[in-house]
Amino acid sequence: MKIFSYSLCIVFILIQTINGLYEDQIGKFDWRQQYIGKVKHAIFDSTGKKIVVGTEENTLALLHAGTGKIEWRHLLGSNTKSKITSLFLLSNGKVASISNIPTIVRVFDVSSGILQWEAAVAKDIQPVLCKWAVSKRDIISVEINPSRSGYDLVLTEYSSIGGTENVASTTELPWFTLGTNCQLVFPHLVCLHPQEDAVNIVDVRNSDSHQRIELQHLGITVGADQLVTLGVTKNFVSLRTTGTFSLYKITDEGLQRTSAEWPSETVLVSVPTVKDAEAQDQYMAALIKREKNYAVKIYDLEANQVLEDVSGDMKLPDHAGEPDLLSTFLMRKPNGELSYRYAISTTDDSLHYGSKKEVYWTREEALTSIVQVEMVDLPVSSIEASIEEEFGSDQALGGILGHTIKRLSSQFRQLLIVTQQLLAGQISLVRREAVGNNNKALERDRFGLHKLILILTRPGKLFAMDTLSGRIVWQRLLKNVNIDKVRLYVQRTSIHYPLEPQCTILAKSSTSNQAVLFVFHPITGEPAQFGSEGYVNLDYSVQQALLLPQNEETEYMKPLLLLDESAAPHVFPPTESAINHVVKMSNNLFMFVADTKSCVLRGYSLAKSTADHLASAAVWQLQLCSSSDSVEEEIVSIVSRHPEEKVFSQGRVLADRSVLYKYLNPNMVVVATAGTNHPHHRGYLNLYLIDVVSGAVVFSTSHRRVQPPYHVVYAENWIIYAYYNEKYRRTELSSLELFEGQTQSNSTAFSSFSAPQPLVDRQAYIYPSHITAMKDTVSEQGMTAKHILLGLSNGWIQEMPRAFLDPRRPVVAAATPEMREEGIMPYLPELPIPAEAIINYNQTISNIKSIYVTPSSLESTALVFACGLDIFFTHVTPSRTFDVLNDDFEYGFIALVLTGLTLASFITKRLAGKKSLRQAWK
Amino acid sequence: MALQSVLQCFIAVCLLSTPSKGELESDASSVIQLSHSLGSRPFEPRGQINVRSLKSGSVNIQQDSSYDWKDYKEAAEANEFYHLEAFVKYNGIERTFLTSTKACLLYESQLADIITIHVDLLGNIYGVSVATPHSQQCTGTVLEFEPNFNTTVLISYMEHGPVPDVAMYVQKVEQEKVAKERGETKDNRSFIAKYWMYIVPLVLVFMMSGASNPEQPAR
Repeated sequence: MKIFSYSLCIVFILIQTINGLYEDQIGKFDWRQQYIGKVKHAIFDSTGKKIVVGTEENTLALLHAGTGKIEWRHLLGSNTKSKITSLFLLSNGKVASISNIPTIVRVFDVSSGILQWEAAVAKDIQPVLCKWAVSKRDIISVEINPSRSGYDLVLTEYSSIGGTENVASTTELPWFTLGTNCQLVFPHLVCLHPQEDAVNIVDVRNSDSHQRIELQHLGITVGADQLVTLGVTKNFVSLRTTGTFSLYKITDEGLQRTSAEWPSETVLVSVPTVKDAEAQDQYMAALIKREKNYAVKIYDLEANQVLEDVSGDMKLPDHAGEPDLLSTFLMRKPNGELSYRYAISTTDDSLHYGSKKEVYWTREEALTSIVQVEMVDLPVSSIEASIEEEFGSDQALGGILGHTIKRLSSQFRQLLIVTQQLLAGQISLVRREAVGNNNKALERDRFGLHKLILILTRPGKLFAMDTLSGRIVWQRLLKNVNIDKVRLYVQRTSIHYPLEPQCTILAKSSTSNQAVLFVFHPITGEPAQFGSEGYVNLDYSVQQALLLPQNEETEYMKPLLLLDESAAPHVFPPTESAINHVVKMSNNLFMFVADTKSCVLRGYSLAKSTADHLASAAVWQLQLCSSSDSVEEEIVSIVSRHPEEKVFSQGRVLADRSVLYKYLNPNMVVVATAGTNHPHHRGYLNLYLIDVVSGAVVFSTSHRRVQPPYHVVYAENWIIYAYYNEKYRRTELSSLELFEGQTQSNSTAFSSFSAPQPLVDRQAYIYPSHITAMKDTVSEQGMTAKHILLGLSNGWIQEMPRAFLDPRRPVVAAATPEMREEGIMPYLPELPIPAEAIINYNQTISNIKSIYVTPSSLESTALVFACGLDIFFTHVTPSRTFDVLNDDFEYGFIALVLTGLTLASFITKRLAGKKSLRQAWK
Repeated sequence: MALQSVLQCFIAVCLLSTPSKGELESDASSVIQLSHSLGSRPFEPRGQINVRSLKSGSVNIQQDSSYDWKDYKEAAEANEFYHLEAFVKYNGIERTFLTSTKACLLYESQLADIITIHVDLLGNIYGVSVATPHSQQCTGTVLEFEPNFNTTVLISYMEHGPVPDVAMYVQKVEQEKVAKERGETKDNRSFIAKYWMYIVPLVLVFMMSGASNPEQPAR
């Protein structure tokens, strides 16, 4: 009976917290976009209607050439080191992909994407070089392995039908040296050592066929410090020096130079796939860099001439980078003319497809490598702006008359705007229009659900996306910045109308170690009035940056405090008001820096700053990791609370009506270090709660025999972290909660220098799946319950109530009324994954890397953006939508009932009057 | 200038945490050299802490306050920091730590400070921090006192992280099973919670019957 009561209790709790999704809500406020990653291999199929691509994200996909849509997509393993090294189209409508680490050959059917066979190649020794090729029937691998006498070449053939392996031969390569670049043009292996001035060619089936050809004989003269690079395009090899580019066909006699003249500006060449099979190797396409754009030239190798009427220019958009992959397709139009299609991958990770006329479509694959995401508010609508202008401006046009004129002109403007919008059809008289309408203007809605997502990606490309539709509003490629470490800061939001919003990107310069700032307007993407086109070069390198609070004096701009290498602080923008703002609060201003490798944490105080000279002084220093030789340890994550998080309640009310006060230290951060103890190869995870103002270690704990991935979430007074338990082979979630106790030491202000020692509650739970990302939900006022969003390796995002991870869930006690009153469930070691808690229902998100949460203006609703290989956006309502009417709320019915009731009351009143009159006459 | 008085402070070793001292993987003795400074003055030696054994936590401290009462008063009034630098030597490893507190807090506690030595599970000292008893506030009313430190030395050990308590849960479930078989479980639910399945139909029946037999109009 007790178990029944438990389950009843749990069921009731579940009913309260889980938000499923109704069928008609699918796609209403969520959207998903699927991506493939930066394209490294692209091959047109024989019809030119499909493109087979292999990407850096270890994904094999088939794209529809007309639309750029994904026909099918396969993630080839989740190992991050694994890459697709080669991709071949086989003659029988199959595609072969070869991945390394571990080496696996896979053959797929092109049209259906079904895996035909796969073979894992086990290697005893890692080969020095491994090249792949296809012949008519087989897939061929050529490996060069070190041997006793030098280097050996091993040829292996796999039948393309069944994958049967056949080790053909081993030949010695006496001329091979380490560092030689080889290309396989089956059956020839062409090798070039960067320091030598000769090319070695060997027929891999015949060991006696080795030829050494001097570069001079190939018509190339190499200067003293010039390098010759070797490239391969299908059956041709290319040799490039700084000034020349030449292409060779390989025959048994050696290299035969194609007589076409290639300009030295040739960026890329490709052998086009041609629709009719006879003309297969007749043409050659080259991408040639011009001053502003590129030219695509088609060469007829048999006639030895450029087909000028076929060739054309190509203009890539400004925000595209340099091309680094070219794939072309040639077809004959009905009127006999040749025409080409190209697929070009550029350094900004985008893929462009087009013809002589135009670029037909572009895929923005940079969105698979997102570094940081910020969701910013949109500006107010024009009507609201005119109201703001009327009341917001305080310019004196005093007197009754002045105000009347102002009011009238403002109302006239509003009327104009409304008529304009009516004419343009922007205001629909029907109330409930479908969300996700692309034509919606970029202006703030009532509930703050319509925002702009600013996305910073690894290739240095910046995107702004509309939250309603997922449409890219603008994009920009950062120039001359080192993209290893970039941060995005929102200095001023759009709320402070008429002041313009401003965002800043902090990065390193690509040429020196110094920092560069890029300042821009987040809504339009236009660079702000700083430096040259928004780029501000700083003459120091930055080791830490901090956004300070804003106020009226700084014009609501959050000053960015930068700490340079010598720990001297700087302020951006360097205006007088911002510096005064910093000096005013400098007594309470502390910064800390952490070196992840040496684990040294150092805190600085800015108390000695004056308006002329900002100064910092070290106040504390810790060194976390072990310095023993047998241990390797480093900092894996440093997590602080969301800077704008609000805590609604100072404590928890217990069943006996006493209050357990939360330990709410705003200066505490969680530092996690992970190491391996070498004698036993056992991993461990240490977690430190450090007050970064005083440098005090509030609490520290350690887990033995654990492995990455580690994820830490820290909000209010609790910390939840995930790790993989090596001993029991399962993912575990640990939960810590800090309390001050039954009394609060100082209810008005918190000082880190006289802080109380907290009580720490802790509990661990088993999680039955693999976690790849973890984040807590945030609401505007902190009233809404907190949920934890867990990104799982199978592409789900689970929304887990924090109550499940409460460390105060009692192990021994039965479900007492006191516990029920407080809302604590009895302890269950394993956490559930109910299907209703999967917020992305059947929209699987491959390879989830991170989740970002932003509050909306509705207290109940938070906006969630998850990214990995795919990107997904949705709303979550952890305490359900308590502050909005349901979607299916019957406005018409309510109105009908109300009017009916009013009418009825009038009629009955009249009738009653008549009746009383009649009775009076009786 | 400063009052030179070497005093043997009382040794107080508190174990802040539950794990027994024996859980440290390696034990070591160590010497911690302390030097301190008020505000931006240069560092002056304060003394040293001898840790005989990290495991057992036996510690003694020798120190003298090189500063005068007035120095502390001035620093407290200027809202300066009191910096303490600790140079730690153990197992051939040398580490330097820095820690600070507000000078006024130290001044008003009459130099009663708490020095905490943080040790991780491998026996590494990863931090030394100074603090004052947390009830202190900077109020500014202190009589003159002898500038002698009254120091408490604490060693804070790292704790083992929580582990999912499967065994206890299984035991609990089994106990309940046994109790159920014996029929010992007592139903302590309220009356309505216990018999709602009988009450609800009854109420329904009453309501239905009331609705279907409207009152006959009285003649």
